[in-house]
Amino acid sequence: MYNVLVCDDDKEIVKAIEIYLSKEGYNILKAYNGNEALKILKNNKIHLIILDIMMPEKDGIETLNEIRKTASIPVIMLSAKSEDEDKINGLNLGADDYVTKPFNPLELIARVNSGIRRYTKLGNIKDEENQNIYSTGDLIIDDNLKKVSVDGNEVKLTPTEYNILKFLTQNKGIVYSIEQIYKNVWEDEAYAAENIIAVHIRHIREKIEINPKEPKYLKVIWGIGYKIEKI
Amino acid sequence: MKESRILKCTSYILIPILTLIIIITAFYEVGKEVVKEDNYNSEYFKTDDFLNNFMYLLSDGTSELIYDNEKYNSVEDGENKICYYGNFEEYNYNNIKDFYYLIQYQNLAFTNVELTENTNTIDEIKNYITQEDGKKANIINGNVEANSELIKNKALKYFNRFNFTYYTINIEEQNQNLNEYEYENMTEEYYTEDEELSTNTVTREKEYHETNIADFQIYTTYKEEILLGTDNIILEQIINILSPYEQIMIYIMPVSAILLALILIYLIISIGHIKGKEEIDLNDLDKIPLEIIYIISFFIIGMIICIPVAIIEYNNTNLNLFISLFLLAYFVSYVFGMSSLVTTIKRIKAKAFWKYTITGKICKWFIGFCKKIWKALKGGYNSITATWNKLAKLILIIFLYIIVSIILMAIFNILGLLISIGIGIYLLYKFNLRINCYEHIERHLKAIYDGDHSSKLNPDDFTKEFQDIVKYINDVSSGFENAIQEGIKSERMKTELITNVSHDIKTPLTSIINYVDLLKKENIENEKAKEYIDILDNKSQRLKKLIEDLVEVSKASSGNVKLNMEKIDICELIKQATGEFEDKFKSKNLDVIYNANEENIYINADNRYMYRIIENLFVNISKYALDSSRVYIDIIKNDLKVKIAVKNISKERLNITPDELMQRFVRGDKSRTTEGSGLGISISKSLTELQNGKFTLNVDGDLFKVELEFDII
Repeated sequence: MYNVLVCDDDKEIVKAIEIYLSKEGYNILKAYNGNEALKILKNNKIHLIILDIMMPEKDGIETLNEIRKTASIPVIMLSAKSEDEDKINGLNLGADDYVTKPFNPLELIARVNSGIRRYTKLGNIKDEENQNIYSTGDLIIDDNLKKVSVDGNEVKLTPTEYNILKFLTQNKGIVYSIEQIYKNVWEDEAYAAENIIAVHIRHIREKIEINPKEPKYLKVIWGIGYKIEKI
Repeated sequence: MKESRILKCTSYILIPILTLIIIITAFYEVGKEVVKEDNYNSEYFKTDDFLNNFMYLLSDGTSELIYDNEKYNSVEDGENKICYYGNFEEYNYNNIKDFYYLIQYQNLAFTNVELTENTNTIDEIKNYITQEDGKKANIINGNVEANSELIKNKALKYFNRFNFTYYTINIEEQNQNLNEYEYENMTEEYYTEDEELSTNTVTREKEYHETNIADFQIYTTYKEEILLGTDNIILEQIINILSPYEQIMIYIMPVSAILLALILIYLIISIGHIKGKEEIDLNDLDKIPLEIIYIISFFIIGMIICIPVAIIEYNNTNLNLFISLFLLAYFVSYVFGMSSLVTTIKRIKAKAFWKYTITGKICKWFIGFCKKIWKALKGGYNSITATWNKLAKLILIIFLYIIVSIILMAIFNILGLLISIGIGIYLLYKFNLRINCYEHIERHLKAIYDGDHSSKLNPDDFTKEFQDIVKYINDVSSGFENAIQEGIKSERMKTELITNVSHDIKTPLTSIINYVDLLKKENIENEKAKEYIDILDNKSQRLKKLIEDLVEVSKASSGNVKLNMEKIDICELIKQATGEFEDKFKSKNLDVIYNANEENIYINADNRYMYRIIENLFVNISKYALDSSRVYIDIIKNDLKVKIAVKNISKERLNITPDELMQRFVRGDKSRTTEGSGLGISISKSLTELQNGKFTLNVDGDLFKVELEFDII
């Protein structure tokens, strides 16, 4: 039973999150401002925090700073601030994830699951060095078994999708254009590549990402190409 | 009275007629005298005067013949010598051929008869003269034979001179100072070079020739009827025609003159008055500069009068031609002369004599100019019109400089010139300083025009004349600067406001969305309740989308977007985007036809915003394109630009203009409210322009066409 601390000044939102997460089997602790959250954190064993930014008394950013002084528990920022700068700022300050309001409850649940898994099972992955196993973050490709898993959940890919993902993961961090991907995966001249690759990539993203519109692993660099983020 | 048209017209008709009468009378009187004078000339030969002159001439001629025959043209006739004195042209007789003479002295002869075959010798000439009809006076052996007592007496009187003793002088010029004058001056007085009268004591040798009238033979004939008449036949003809009316004319002329004077006075009073008008009426003619009217009239009248005058001069005898040309000239002159007169009178009466003259205008301008300069020099203008002040000073300086230079040069010559050049260079230097100031100001204004409002002019860089201008310019540019800053600030505040408000809306909206979602998961039996929840779900999602778009459009249109420009391949991007939308297009059975004239076309853009533009267009296509139609994506590259054209067929009739479509919150089909915020095109347009692109939208029937244009790199 994992404890999730939900901190938001809007009580209804806290309650809604409680309803969703309770169904997933989490134990919810509620706080309505930063000070309360810190107090609860001090007195309880918490596995994940969902933290609003704009709160009275002590806002989310300050609270996050306090938390990071002592604990490395996963923090998901939940804010109406949806600007890029806000997200970047939040993540740089030590947040593990950033969800904007209004959020999709399923996405939030998935992100909470991911955070908890990563926090609790951290260090379990030892075979990263193994041959034929490629990974970035919680995305693991086992080329021996031809299996792909994200956050421990197995993902089913078509052979082409698998090859594309494997190629990109093998060369994580490097951006490849459609043409280059075609050449490397099909080992053929990209003659009429058109948008086949783009379609495959989208399918892969839909399978491995929690929110395909804001991919964590397989990123689109518009007008340039695609890459697997090095995490 | 003043305004009667009939009276005026009558006046205009009467004036030339009356004037003509006066002119003709005057012409007649003058002409009569001229003709009389001419006729007097023709009678001259019959008078004592002529005879006196004639005889004197002959006697003079004979003495000339003796002393000085060497200077005449002569012909040798055996032992005789015939000299030609020439015609009596210097006495201005026209028909001199009707007048002959011959003077003989020993073997010398003097004549005016033309030498022909029949008049080669003295005797032949004598015969020729004596055979001619006319009055004759022959003096042979001292006896005068004449067919007129009068001539005989005259001849005797004049030819008595020949009894005098004539002598030739052979001067022994002992004194070289003698002038030729002394030769003729038969006294022994002479003038020395000092112009003093002195007497000479030279010895002379004198040769005496005693002559007598009997030594001469003189033959003369002149015709009784030598008709010289008048020079001018036309004049004489006219006088002849007019002479019967002489008496009438003498009475008519004063009457005409009085009448003319009255009419002129009436016209002077009435000219310019028109029925129903208080003031003097000036028409277009009266506004033509007076000098021009005068000059034109003067030339036309002058030229046309030359024609009849020329006819008289060249002695043309066609009277009718003369009269018709005279009348033509007269009436043309009348029209022009009268017009000039009338307009002059009108102008004077309207007190606008100077108003419509070139001279008047020049004077007015000059006086105004002088006044302005005077006023400016006195400093009468305020600083706004200080330019005048400066210009006046400049003119004064140049003027003074010229005068000073002239004075300097007049007094000190070369040194003065050098000083004057020195002063000139100094003035040019000062002038150049001001020109530099002007140029500086011009550059600065150009900078302001180009958008640099922050820099200011430093008053220390300018001469004191420019201080005001510099202050004004600085104030204006600060004004601009402030206005722009205000504008940017207010735009930013607007964006911030929208962003903040959107945050505040998003929080309650989160609760709505979540609880609607929770409600959906509740086990609700009631179908209506389920339907209502669906509507709530739908609308809350739409509200969410609207808020997001609202923030975006306000940021994009205010330019409040951080762009991360990099080199991207527009073809790759289109491929990626079509890949993203493949499912959506497929679900509507849209056939995407991609066409690019090159594989890779690079532009400078922010890839995320570039994708937003394309995404919005594709979203629109997936929403509004006709099912099972084709979507064309053309990427056309030319020298400097790449054009991305996206065309599709609209499902609904597009009943609004492209401009309306590009405005915020407008959708192709106004009645539909289900999805989208209507901001897509507006956002795309703003983002395109932020990335230095061009966004054009065309609607042609159901064809919906968007064109993006970017510079290629």
